[in-house]
Amino acid sequence: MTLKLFDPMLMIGISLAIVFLMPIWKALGGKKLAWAVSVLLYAFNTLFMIGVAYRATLYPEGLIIKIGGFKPPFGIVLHVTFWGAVLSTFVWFVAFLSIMYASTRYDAEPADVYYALLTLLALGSSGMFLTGDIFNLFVFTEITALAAFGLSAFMKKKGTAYATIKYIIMAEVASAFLLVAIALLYGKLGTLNMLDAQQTLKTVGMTGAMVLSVLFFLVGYGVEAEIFPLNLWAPDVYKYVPEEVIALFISGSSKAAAFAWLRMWVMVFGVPQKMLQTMLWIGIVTFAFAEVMAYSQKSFRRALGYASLGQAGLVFVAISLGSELALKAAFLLMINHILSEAILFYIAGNIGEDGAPANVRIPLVFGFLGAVSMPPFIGFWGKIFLFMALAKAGYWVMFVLIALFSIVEIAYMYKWFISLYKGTGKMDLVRSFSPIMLTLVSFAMWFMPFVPKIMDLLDLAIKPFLQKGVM
Amino acid sequence: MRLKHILAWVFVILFVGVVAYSLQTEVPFGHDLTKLAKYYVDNTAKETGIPNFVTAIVVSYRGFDTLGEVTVLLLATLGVIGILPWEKHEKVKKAHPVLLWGIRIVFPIILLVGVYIVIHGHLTPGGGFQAGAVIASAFMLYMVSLSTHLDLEAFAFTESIAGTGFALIGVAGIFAGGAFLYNFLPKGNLFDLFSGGIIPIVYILIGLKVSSELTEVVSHMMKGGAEQ
Amino acid sequence: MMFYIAALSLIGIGLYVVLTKKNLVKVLIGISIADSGVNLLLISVGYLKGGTAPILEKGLNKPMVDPVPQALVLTAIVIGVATLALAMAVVIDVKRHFGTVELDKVIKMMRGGDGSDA
Repeated sequence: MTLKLFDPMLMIGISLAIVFLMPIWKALGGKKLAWAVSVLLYAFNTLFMIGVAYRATLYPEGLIIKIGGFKPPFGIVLHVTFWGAVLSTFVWFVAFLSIMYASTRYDAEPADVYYALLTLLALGSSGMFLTGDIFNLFVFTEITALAAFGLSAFMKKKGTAYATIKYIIMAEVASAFLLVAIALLYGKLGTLNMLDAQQTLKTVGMTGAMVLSVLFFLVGYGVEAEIFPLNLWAPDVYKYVPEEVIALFISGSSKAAAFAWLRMWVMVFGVPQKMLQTMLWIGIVTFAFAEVMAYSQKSFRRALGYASLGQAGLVFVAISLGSELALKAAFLLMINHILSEAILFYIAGNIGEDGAPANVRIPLVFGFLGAVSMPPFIGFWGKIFLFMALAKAGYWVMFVLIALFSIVEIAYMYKWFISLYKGTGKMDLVRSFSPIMLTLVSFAMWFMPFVPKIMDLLDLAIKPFLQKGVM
Repeated sequence: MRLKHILAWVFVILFVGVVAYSLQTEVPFGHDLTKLAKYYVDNTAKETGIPNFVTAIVVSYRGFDTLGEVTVLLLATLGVIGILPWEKHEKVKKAHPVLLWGIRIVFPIILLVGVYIVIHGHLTPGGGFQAGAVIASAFMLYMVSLSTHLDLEAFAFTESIAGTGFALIGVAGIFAGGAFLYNFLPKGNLFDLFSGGIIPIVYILIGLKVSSELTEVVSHMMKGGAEQ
Repeated sequence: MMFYIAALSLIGIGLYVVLTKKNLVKVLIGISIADSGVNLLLISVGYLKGGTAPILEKGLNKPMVDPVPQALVLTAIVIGVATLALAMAVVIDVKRHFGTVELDKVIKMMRGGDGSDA
């Protein structure tokens, strides 16, 4: 009975109410109160989403939450899966760390607007993780995108303006494609509910219109999921935008778009075998392109940006493969990516002339190890699973290519590590809180595979997405 | 340069041709109603108690989308406020007398039309968004012709109260009926002004929010866009 | 059929503008044209032969068109407007920093000015 209280709608409703009240908070207590309210909200939401994730473990096929009390295909539903709930927890956690980090930032004005945008970015991505309706997914995508635009241009510098306008143009063209995809899907299947669409599609089959719809969904989510060649906006954004925002982009909008692709490609369309090869190659090219570009970068922020694109490519390969092992790999790689890249970006904002600050050396080591998916980091298991999945499906060329470019990744990451490690600077105490917290979490994560129950959790995470009859 | 244009044309023509062909063959124009549409046409009046099915879908069946939509508008406002810095308003040339006097006559009429549209949103075509745009256009005309700025604080408060009201009505639904945005008020008689439970209330809140948000956006653009 | 082609052509024109124009304001106009095309496409997908507006009226008993796309389009229009406003604000910001809204000039200035990376 008490578990029923962990209704994600409660989280979304309360968060929205608090964001809407932002002008009032500001009038009552200035930006200090706006900050305090946001911090409390993020902390509360993180804990709340842990509760939701626990509740989701009790529903192997995913928890359906009806909105407005209408029967599923007719009203909007949330389809809360363990996977989505976990990622959503991470979003709020990173948002919490980011706002702590941003508390020493005085150049973000007006501050209350800044906090509101951070909240809405986190909220939009967690909506994308939780929703079970195709059009609702689009609405949340747009919320996430607009919050991302606002945050990305917020500093009003030369670089941010330039990076943001490229981002906006690409994302807006993508959203037009997304709507065309929805029009095709709705016209053909006559439903907007994901699970219902999945069932209807089985009787209809992958006709020409559906193939087009898949392609447009790919374009639509590819921009935010950072798929080549739609990811050309990303390196500039990653270079110029403040690091706490980037941490949130990585855990929020980019992961949410990848998750949306998972929903459409694996859940609704059921991994159409005809298009599988193409998707895998797109992912591989994304990975290879990003790693090669990262290798030749002279600025650490930019190298990190490209490394992050590479990770997105790997996640895309894993999702597109869509087999049981591959989905497990995608789950682990996503979490690994959030943790390691967020640590590195938090530190990257504080790098001086001589290298990284001395008091965050341990998080730095962890961040680098995570970025190349080495133990002690759960990305290690993710990559192993991905290799196993590729081998099992018989894609040996891709196996070799991924291994090859992983070595490139290790090479340049090592280079940066050597040049940064010996730094003597000092990171401000408030700011170093964020990378240290993340390091603790990732350290705890490493022990997870040794806990006997954890493999069950992995099975549980991918269960709602597996269709009978797919591999 | 030439090549780029030709390639763009080829891409566009291919896009239009392929999509139009597959749409026409698989979803012919004017095809029968889909499963969803049939359900709505048959049951909306019974389930929500209002005759305007589009409003019923926007506010009730897909009310959550609408909540997201107002959030998107809020984001636009936040973004514009965040990106465009506040600047001293430049002296602008005075508007033509026709405009100056015309606004005094037209302004209340536009407002009245907007209010009418929002109040009858659940009965006739129209509703919160349309009305919001109409009302905002009145304020916009006001700002343009008198080249003054309105008290933005007041708009921000209106918007924030209206938005919070919408979200809280949704949350109240969880406790009253077990689902977010559950319609917990009596539905009344079909075609009555006071009918449809929470639908007209939500739509009025949306109207308030949209109008104040759009006014804010325009006002900020006028301010921030002024060249130094 | 004509409606589909018309709507898709609008999207196509918008895409063409986005692909070929350098002026950011023109690009935004292109995006907005494409948005209108998408909205028209959604509406035409929901059309029923001989259907009327999906609003119940006393004494009127005609088949109604699909109300769902209309509701979706209402949402899509608002989202389009919001994005356009935000994008315009960013363009104003670009103009403030670079003194131009031509994308190729902006890119050249970025590469020349910052220099540190290509």
